[in-house]
Amino acid sequence: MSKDKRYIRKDLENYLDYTGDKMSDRDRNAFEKELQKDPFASEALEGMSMIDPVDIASDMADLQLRLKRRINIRRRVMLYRIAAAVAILLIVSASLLTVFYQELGLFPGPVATTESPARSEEKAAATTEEANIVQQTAPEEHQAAAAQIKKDISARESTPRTEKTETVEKSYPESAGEKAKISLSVSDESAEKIPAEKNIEQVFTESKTAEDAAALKEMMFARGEGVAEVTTGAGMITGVVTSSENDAPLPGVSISLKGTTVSTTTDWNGKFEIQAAGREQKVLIADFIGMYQQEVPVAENKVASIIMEPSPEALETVLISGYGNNILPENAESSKYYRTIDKTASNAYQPASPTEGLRQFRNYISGNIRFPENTELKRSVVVMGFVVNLSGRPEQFNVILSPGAAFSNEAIRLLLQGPSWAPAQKDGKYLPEETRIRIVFDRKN
Amino acid sequence: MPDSVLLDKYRISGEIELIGELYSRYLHLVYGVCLKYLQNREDARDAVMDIFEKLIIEFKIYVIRDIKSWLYVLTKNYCLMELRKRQTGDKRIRKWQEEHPEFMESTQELHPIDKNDLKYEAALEKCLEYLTGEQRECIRLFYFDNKSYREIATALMLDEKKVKSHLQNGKRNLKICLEGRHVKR
Repeated sequence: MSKDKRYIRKDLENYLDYTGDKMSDRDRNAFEKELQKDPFASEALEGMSMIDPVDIASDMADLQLRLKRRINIRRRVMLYRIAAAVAILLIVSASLLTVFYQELGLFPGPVATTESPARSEEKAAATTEEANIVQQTAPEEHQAAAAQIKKDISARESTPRTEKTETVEKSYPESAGEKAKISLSVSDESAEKIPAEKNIEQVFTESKTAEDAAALKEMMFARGEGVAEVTTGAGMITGVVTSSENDAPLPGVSISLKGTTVSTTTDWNGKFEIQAAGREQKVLIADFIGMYQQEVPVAENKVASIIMEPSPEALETVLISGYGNNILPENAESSKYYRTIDKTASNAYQPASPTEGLRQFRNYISGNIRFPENTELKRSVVVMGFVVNLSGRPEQFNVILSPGAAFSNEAIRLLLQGPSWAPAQKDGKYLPEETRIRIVFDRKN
Repeated sequence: MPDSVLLDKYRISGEIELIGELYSRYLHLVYGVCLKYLQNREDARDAVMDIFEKLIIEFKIYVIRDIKSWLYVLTKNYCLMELRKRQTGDKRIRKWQEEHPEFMESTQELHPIDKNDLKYEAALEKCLEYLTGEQRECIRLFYFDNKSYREIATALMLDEKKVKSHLQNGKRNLKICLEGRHVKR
């Protein structure tokens, strides 16, 4: 399969070499002969020759990413369907078995019981009796099963348990609002553990065995959502933000609590801490220049793990964002608010921007950027914070993301020697906020 | 894994990853064609993703022998529909209709000259004589002297597009000539 991928890359390279004029005339002829045989390829080439090969390459990268994301969504949906089906099947068969055994009077140990979360450590040892509570708000068709379970529990209250137990948790999507939940322990070693929960965090708080934790964590990673994990101080949400590009921690990410002005940024290790006590809504918004904005629901006193993915605009050489560290909007809901604001309104916030416009500024960067020598790196990203002073010059540089000093120094040089800026403004006044610039270093440049 | 195996596996398992694998082999071609017709990068990228959605469904329904040419037709049809949606009087559609009077046509057999088959050699030589000067020159330079479009364009002082259309028309005329000869025999 890897051979396959290499072949595809090679094939794409041929097109890029052809349109980028990096082929000898003999090779061109050979390639053109192939095109003569294949109208698909020849039309594709016509399309590709309309734009710069660099743009083609970046578009292809973007498409591969989107394709990957698309596939993951589909697979998740599938997983849910299968999980739900298996869970329903298990519950039905478990309750049938219960009824069957009871009628015969052949009850072989505890068939069904629920566990209180606090006791799960002991459960791992699986030797003694447990406190049994059935939370029961299931829809009618499952009422019978739940009632049956309850009966079994009381009947078996004093029986010592020796079997290994497995937990099956299931919520009924039919019962929409009220999360109906039945927890069963089935004395069947092969019984599968299927958390078919919509709200994983909720299950998570209730399943405490190491196994459960690992399984759920895995599943949540598969869903690409935040992971609630470890308890910390009251009302505090802590977490880690990483980048999907290299799985490395992402510093300087703005984290805010949805619907509030509460916000913070991640430290050098991508970690953050945010006060969320007493808030109804516990959705974090993570925002970073060149990445998709993410909304992650989290539970209080939990560690959230947020994985940021690059957005298509990350392919641009230069991005500028006025969403600073120190100045936060009234409503932290979206940083985009600032970018689309009507610039003619005098009291509106205006981010710092190059006086000649972004396009000119990009040209300046692409024209003057020097790729650092003595490095193996090919494509690297530097994110730099700075403040535009009243005379329109960038100062107070703050390296937010950089593969090394050579790169950050080059970014600073570009800014220092570059064109002047219009400083950020708010209410018609100068606003000394941190502006961010993201520069892509590419060896080709 | 060959395309057909991937497709069979998908039909059995319904695993979307397989389609993704298959599609990524032709991603650049689909993108290129979309770019040609839709004329801008954003639309072309969106089209590539939309076409993927169609594949997920259509690959389940249809039994497809030649995936590549099927994908080609699907891509072109998609682009045409997109253009139609935009505006009926759009210049691009008119351009399209001029260029593609019968765009649904499935893949034809390879042209004899592209087959590199020696048994046609003599017949080809004869037929070449019937072509107009520029068509003949283009075909000679391209197929016998292995010159690139660009070199031919420079040598004959023509536009590259002109070279391509001479090749196209020359080949068509050659084919007519070759088929005529076969009939006579």
